[in-house]
Amino acid sequence: MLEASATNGKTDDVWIPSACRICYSHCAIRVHRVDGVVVKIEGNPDSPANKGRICARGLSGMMQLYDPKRLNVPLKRTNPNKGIGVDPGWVEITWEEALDTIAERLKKTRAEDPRKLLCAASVAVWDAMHVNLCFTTAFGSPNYFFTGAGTHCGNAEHLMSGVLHGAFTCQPDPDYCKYLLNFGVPVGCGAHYANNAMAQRLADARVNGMRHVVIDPWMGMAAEKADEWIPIRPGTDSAMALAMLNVILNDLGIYDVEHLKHHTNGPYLIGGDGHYVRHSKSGKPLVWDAASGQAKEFDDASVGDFALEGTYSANGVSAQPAFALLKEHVQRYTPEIASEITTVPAATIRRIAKEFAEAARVGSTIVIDGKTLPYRPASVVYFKGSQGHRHATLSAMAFELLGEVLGAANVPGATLGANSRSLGFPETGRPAYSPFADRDGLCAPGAWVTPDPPLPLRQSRKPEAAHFQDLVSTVCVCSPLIPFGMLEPEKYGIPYKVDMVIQTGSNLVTTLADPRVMERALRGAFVVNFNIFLDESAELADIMLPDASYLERHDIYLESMHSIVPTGWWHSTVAQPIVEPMYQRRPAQEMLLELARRAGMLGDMYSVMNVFYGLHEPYLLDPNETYTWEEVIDRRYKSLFGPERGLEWFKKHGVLSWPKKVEETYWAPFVKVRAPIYFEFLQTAGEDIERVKKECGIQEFETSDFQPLPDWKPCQSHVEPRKDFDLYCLYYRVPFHTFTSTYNNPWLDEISRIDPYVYNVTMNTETARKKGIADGDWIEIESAGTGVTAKGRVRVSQCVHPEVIAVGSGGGHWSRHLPVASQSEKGVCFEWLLPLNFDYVDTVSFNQDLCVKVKATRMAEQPRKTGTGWTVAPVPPGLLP
Amino acid sequence: MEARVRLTGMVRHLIGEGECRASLADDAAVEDLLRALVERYGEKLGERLFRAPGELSGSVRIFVNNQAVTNLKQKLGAGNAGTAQISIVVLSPVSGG
Repeated sequence: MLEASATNGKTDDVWIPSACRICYSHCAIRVHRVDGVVVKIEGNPDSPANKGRICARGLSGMMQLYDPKRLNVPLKRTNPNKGIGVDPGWVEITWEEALDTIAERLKKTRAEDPRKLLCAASVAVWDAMHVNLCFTTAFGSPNYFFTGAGTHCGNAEHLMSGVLHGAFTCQPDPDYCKYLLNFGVPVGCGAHYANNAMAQRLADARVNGMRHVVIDPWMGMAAEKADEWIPIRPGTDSAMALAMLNVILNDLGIYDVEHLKHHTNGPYLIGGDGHYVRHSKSGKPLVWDAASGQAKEFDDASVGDFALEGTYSANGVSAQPAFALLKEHVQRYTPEIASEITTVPAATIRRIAKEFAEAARVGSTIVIDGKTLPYRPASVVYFKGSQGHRHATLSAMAFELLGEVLGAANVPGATLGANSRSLGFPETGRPAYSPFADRDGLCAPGAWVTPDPPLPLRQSRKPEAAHFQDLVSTVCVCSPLIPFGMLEPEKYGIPYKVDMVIQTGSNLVTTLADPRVMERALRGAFVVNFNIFLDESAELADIMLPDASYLERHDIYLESMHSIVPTGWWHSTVAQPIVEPMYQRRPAQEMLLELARRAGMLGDMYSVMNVFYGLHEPYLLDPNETYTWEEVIDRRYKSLFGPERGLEWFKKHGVLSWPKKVEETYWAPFVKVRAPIYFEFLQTAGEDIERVKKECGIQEFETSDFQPLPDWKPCQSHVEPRKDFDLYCLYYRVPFHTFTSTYNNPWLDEISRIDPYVYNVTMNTETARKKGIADGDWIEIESAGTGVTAKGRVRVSQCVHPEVIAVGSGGGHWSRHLPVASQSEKGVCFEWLLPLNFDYVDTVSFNQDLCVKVKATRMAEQPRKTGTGWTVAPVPPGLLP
Repeated sequence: MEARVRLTGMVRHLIGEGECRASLADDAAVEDLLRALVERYGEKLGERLFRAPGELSGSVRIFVNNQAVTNLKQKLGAGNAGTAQISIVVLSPVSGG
């Protein structure tokens, strides 16, 4: 147990337990404060999650706290002209003036139409994000948007994790996995969820014999540590997965029959229209009982033997089990065809398929804590890179089915939903949630990060929100299309125009593809921005408010399902102020509550917080009372963990942990739900969207990808007609940065400069030679998608696919208030190359397509050097006119 | 009995106010209250509250006298003062990740 204590005879010399907030993994930390100054941050050894470990970002937190370029006072814009690179003409104002001005705008907007407010938050400022959501909902607006990776989140992965694993995301089982098939995820290698916690566990798994195979165009952090790296053409991973599936199902004939029969919709009968054949009265999907030779409802206890193959007559129509259709469907993906698409040799595809299928040990069992469970020590993981494409959902389906047909899901050794099921803290039974069956018996998540899990399927509605998630009901995370709802609401039948925006920490301009689109969208609104820096998005703001950093404020640790490793222990922490907020900084959470009070909506705010934070009597917030932010946190913890474990307990002890039960970690055998291997609900959703589109006269949002079985389809970059745009440009996550938010940190900058690649662009050695480009040359990179040309210094390497230029994520800043970050040798802002339009968005999940075709040309001379580095005035560094 | 209702969330543009009162039979259930609210504010509110007839939308949360309620048949159960305190929160699809 850690306790704050004074030692060494100094006035103030304490180690204080808290939680890191530099990324969304929220590792437990302890912070050393001497005479009022933070001097060191370490991982908290009391946490069973990160076990005392912490990454470079976490160690560098004090440099963010004391950064001399922090925003320290409220500012008001004086220049009415807004735009990228336009000086806002900031003048200092008091908090009183700022809050009064904002509150008056809020009252006016709320009286006119509350839907005109849009709030944006960042996963890098996690707790303000949730208070912001409560604020938006209480205000009465549907327009809430949280970013961090901007639109580069794993939308399709989240969708599939929800319906197949009952969780927001997935992790491999570090305790029992023996074969990790990794489609481009830096899991346990410095990024991805719970990264410090997974790093040691996956390293241990490697020592214990786990084979790690990484398929990725770029040899990133995972591939460089793996047993095997398989370079692949960007956006084609699903073609390889489908060919592997074909080999597994049709050549090797390896699949888990019992799992498919009892834990998937594989036996559901599918009619000629692609839909389930349903019982005429109950409407339940039918299966074929081979034992009795009859069609029965899927949950009929008398079914003796679920048929997985064959053709049957049910309800007067000819039908086949879903599994039979899947097996037949993938036959078209031979390894040879996939090889042409992916550049991966057919023999390699066959070999990996065989290794993976055999590693799953179909039919084997293991005894854990006295319970006999299926043992499937093979796992598939994927995320942003491999599914970040135009047809993201179809790709995600393909990856998931590799594990699902082998029964390798939510059992020991397999892919695990990241904390799908909680039976609660032993003393209170809270939080308690579990996947549950929707009306068709399919897996619906018991908990979700937003109010909108993918199942049960919502009905499509006429667009009312600028993000269109009411129209496209399958979108359960972020929407890159939000600027279009802001700019042209009438085109989509949205009955108002957003005219006020409140941001907490999000840098929308540099994280939402082509910055010019968001620039246009924000120009027409009154923008309030809580931030710790004057970043690029500040240029579009009307009022800037100095936020407190995570070392200056209280934060709730919100049982973020994805932030905890899937095995071992549950844990909860709290972030507490190590020092008081300096200068005029104030926590956004507290200021949002104050704005709610001044706008006359505090009672509504409390009503929403009661729901969102799951408060219980006697800790419910009374709409007629007033509470501090600390009191809200205290009630949250007491609601979960009982009266003895409120905020003060957590501030003193730091971490509350308890062991996970087998029924939580390996929940599949204990919960009666079925995973879809045939995604009939998507076909239903697509038809529903078409109905609404027709009613509203909407042309966009085409629905051809709303299909029940996966396919590989080319992205925009694959069909680029101009032959001189011959390279794919992609970005990769940098393990020591969190999106764009950490590039002004001098310690992280130093690491980035030492690393040969982060601030440069990487090109394959042979490709560079053919183009007459040498290591260290500067090149122009022209985007086929945006027409923008960026520049970068080349590092040549064999660790990148020959058709690829790889760019580190989050760099290429241009705000003059970020002097460490905003130097043109500090990376390329990839967003300038990435178009933001309907052709680059997956229509099912709204996943942003992250791959763009470019042409690279050697620059005759180096760019002009100025006092602060390489700059190309007057446009932002990293761009050419 | 009287029900004092606070309606929060994606209904404000429909109802124009956050709080209202409804007079109901002493043995009124949650569904009676919702029906009365739909009669007062129109079918648009009904579309927001219900997924299908008699089936509450997944985005609606109801508290009756500070207790979360999911069963629409549950009686409102006014206290000694003859008043039930109701909080209805309508969440909306949000975007983020």
